[in-house]
Amino acid sequence: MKLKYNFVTNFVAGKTVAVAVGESAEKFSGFMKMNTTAAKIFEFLKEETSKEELVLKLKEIYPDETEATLKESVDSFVAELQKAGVLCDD
Amino acid sequence: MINNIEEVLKTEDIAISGFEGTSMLPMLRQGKDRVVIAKCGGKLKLHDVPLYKSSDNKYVLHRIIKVKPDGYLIRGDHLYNNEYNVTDNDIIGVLKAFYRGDKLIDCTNKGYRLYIWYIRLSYPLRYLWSEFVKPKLWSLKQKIRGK
Repeated sequence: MKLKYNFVTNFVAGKTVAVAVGESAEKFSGFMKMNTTAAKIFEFLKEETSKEELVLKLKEIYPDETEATLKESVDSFVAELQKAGVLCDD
Repeated sequence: MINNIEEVLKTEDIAISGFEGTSMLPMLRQGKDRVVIAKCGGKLKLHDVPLYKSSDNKYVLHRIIKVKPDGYLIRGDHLYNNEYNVTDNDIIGVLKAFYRGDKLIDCTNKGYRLYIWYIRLSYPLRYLWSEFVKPKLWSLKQKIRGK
């Protein structure tokens, strides 16, 4: 899976937000607010990846977290992105 | 688009949206740029850009050019008429930053502060050009063409 649109992520007014830019802005006019972990997942999703790979990449950044916790974070954020319609179909 | 901001700000601290119109040119370009609007945290300052609801119920995003005890004097960067009687009660949020294309520009940015002074200081010249010189040249052109 991968992000469907071209996003930029910035820290704005104390929040990490992602906004679609260029031609993508016409297709996705909203914005996404996210926490630090979600922002990392979002960055990884700019390239083709799987949920399993996301958990492994997060484990490198957060070695103290259990895989179950990281899997839960990935599952819930990916579900949120799917609901928002910003992920390419598998 | 910008109409949704009022709704979004009921639950979020910021809202990001496109907009319609040319009144904030050359800073904000319709269809290309997006605005980041934050909830207001009290009285606004000179040169802030509030989003407010006008007397005819339209959403307007223009710059404060004078802070008065009872409200604000406001004008779009690309306009030559002022808006009077805008009070804190009319204000929905304030411009915090904007995306110019894919580049995020914060309203505390030094380049942005310079832009504000350019817009303010060049106003008399732009006003003269737009309201007097340009129409005269236009009518002169029409006269020459008519001959």
